[in-house]
Amino acid sequence: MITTVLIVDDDTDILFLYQKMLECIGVEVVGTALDGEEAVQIFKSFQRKPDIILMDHRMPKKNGLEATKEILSINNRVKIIFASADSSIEKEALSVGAISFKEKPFSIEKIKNNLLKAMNLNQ
Amino acid sequence: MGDMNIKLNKSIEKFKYITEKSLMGITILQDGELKYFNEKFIEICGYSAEEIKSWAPNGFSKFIYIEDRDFVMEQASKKQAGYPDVVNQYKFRIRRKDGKIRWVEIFSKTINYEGHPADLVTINDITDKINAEKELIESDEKYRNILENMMEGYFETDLSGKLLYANAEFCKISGFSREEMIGKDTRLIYDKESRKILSDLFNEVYNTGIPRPPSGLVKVRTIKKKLIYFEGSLDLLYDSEGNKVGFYGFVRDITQRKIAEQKLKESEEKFRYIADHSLLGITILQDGVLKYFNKKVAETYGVSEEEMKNWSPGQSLKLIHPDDLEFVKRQGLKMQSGESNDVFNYKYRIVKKDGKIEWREVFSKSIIYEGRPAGFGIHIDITEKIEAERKLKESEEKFRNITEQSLVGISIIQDGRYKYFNKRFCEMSGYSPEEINSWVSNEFAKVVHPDDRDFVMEQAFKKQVGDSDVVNQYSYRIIRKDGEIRWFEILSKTINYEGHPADLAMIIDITDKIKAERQLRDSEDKFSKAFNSNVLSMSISSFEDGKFIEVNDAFLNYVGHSREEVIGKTTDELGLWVSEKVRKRFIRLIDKHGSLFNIETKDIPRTGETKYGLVSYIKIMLNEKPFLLSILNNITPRKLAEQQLKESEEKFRYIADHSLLGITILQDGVFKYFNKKVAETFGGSEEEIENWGPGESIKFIHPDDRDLVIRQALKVQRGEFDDAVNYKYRIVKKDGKIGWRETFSKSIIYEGRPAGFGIHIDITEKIEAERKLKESREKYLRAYNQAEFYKDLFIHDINNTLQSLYSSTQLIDIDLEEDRKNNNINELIDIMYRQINRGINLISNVRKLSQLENHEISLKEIDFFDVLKQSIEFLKNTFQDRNIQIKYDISCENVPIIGNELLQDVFENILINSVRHNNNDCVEIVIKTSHVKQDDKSYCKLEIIDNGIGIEDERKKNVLNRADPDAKTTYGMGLGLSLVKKIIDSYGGKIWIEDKVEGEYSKGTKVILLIQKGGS
Repeated sequence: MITTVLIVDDDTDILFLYQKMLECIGVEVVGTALDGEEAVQIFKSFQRKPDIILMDHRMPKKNGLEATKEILSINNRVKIIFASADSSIEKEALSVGAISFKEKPFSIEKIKNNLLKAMNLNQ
Repeated sequence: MGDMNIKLNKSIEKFKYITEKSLMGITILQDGELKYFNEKFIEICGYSAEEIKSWAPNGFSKFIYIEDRDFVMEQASKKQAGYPDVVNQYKFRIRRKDGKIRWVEIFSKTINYEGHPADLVTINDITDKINAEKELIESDEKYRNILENMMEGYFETDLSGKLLYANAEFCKISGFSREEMIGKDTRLIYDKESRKILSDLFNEVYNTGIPRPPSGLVKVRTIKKKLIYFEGSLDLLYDSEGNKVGFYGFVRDITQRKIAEQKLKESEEKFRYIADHSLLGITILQDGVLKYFNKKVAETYGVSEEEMKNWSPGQSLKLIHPDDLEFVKRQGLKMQSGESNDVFNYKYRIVKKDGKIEWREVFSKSIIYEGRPAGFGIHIDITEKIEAERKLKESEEKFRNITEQSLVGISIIQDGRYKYFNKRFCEMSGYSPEEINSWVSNEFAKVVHPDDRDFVMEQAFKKQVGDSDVVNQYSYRIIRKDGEIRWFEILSKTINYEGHPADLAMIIDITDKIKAERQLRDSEDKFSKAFNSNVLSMSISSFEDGKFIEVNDAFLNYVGHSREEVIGKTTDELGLWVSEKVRKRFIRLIDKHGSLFNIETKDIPRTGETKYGLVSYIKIMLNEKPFLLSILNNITPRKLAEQQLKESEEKFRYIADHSLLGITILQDGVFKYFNKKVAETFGGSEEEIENWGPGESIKFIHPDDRDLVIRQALKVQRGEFDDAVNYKYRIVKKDGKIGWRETFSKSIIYEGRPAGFGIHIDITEKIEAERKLKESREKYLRAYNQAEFYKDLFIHDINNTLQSLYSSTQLIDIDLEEDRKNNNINELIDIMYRQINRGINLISNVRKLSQLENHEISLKEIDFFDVLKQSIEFLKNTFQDRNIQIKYDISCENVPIIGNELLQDVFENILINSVRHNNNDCVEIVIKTSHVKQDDKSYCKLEIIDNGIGIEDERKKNVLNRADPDAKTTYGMGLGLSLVKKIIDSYGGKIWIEDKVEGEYSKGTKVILLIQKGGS
């Protein structure tokens, strides 16, 4: 089955670029959200939950940590990969349930490896 | 032959019949079997013939009584065997079939039966005979027993007088044993005279046949010299045929009674004589008549015996004193009626014939006189005794009164107990008379103090037994009932009290005396110590010539002489006065006034040192002669100390006066001391401060600090601060300048009362330096935090930008490499341009913020509407693809405001946000301007209202706060609205955010700016 991903970031350019990068890798982007609150709403709306969420931290309304906690409380099988330019929250992100933390900027290969690792964990 | 046989048979039948019908049981025993037995045998043993025949050999033994069985069986065996050594006749018991025990007697012998030896046994039942014999024996025994145990003597003799039987009592009366008398002539145990009496008596009975009656009395004497009075009977014994065969008799020994009667008679005579001649009156009164009276009674009543004998019943009562008559009468009747066996004793008065009244004491008792009750009385004349008792009582009362009223405790101890003690004794001991009387032997020891108890008890004991080795006077302590310890002095000696030695003690409470003595001794000791040990020099010298009679060590030390050098010498000899003339002048003054006090002296005594003294002279009288008591206080050390103190004070006053610190002593709200520095502190002159009234200094204290300073000043003046306390406060100097002071204050005693000692330091410069340092620190901290914040924002946003650029570049590479037709290259290049611009803006914004922080951009008057127009132009160029409708409501066109070139950034940021955060197809922006005045300042008010997504209430303030993490994500590189606020702040203006429609943030946002107008 194709791996499904939800992308969360308040920067529309980055959302666009992530989609393109993930398409190259062969992963299906099932949704995007511009802030943490929207991410929670979209996640709730999914009948079939995405396998992975690529999560930014500094966002309006609800930040990445708050959104992660809420999403995992709804479904703790989803794998959340933090992708943030703020490396100071790495420990906190892992402690609230993220499986890995990627500091911006990173390459397509790096994100691909992370997704594969996440999928192996899933299997 | 035939006849013979017939005869033989007849004979056999006849003998058979005889044996069969014999009255004795007959049996033949052979080989243990009863070969023959007759009917009587069957009857005796109680078994049937069949039963007997069925017995096994020797089975007959079972009817022999077990205790006799061995003997009977042995004899039967021997006789069956034909042994010669056998007993042919004997008695034994059998047990019949019915279980009854019977006595039998047998006669048996060995016979030849049917050619063999056999035992022929004739058996007779003798049970009845045996029983009769037994009864006879028992009867005889009983009869003998009665005779033996009779209280009367019994004897039997034959006609010749030979004693046949005598019972135990007879033996006892006669004094001879049965063996000595039985078979002998009874008369031989008596003396010659008695034998004749007894022979006559026996002969009389024999001859007359008349028995002597039981009351017959005979007086005899045995050969053992025993006198016996017999009373008893004598009669003849007859045999069954009526022949006289002997005598028998019963006798009673009445010797004792006879002797007693004799003695009584003698006694009666003796006592009658005694009674008749008694010195006590004796009477027997019966039926009111004096049945007996002795001479003494007649004398007692003063009447003759003849007169008394003729007295009619009751006449004796006429002599009884009327007051005692009823009582005596009652006693007399009681005695005569025999109501009581007790002796009654009473006293009464009689009135003699001559009218004289005398006292009598009677001991009376009921007696039986001539078979009837009577009153026996012994009368004693106790007139003299009563008189003596009365006098004794009077005397005793007199002395008792004296002892009872005595101030000395008096007691008599005998046998370890107080036999007498007076009232004072009770008071002294604290115990009640009942308590003292209840003390057991020697219990009084508990009252004596334990330390003195052994001695006191020893002395008391010795005096109670009359020991001569005693101490008659000594002191000791007692413990009163209430626990108080008192000293007693005792004077005691042995006396004879009620016939026995006793300890008479006179006790005086000497506690107060001892206390007084002790106080006197203490006082003497105290005054002696006070004189000899006094640090003041003391001397006593004669008025007349100044000769010393007593001096103390301090005096000797002061004058530098030994005691021997001083005592007996005059002041003149010792050179202690300037001259004898001067001394005499002083003596006159002292004599006149009695004393002179505190005269300061300066002497150079023998030691050569200069000494200062304060001397007082007092005239005292010793043995009626005047003496001079001089008391000198050596004040040399004090004088020297005062000098040193003065020097020290001068030194320290100089130091204090010239100190660089302010020094004060505050008492009663007034500066009792202050130095120059204090005057300088307040900016006034020393004269001014000296003239301050109580509390006036407070006017120089800053109003905000006055409470603190007053509180501290009051506490320190009250003596509450033993340890130094410090506090800071502001003062307002005379010229109005405010300065800071730090005061270290402590409670001290100044001139005998609490005061506040204060050291005041001018810390104005220090405080100012601290304030600046604090400001600097805060500024630095603010700058550091800001730098950290910018760094964080910068890194974050630049990394985001770089992520876009990196990803775009990689995707372009992929597109080019794969040579895809539907590639995204153009789109990706647009992103790259956009991100590069964002980076440029970020750097620009950070630089502008930094300039604002450092105040590098100066303010000037600018036309705010021009700047607004340029910003709108920029917005439209930036968002050419968006439908943007802008409406104006401008009322302050061409009005200069205070600002700079950054105002355009303010407008652009707000407008870009209105478009960016707006999802409507048509972005509607309304721009309103107006004039407002606040805090006496004129502002141009600008409102930018959009129809965007709006901002929640809780975020409205935060988006303007640069520390708000959410602000970092705001478009415009995260610094947009923070920068806007910073710029407006730097203009002295204000900025805030409201909802376009109040309470409905999602309808749009209203940003309001107040910017100061220029030109004013």
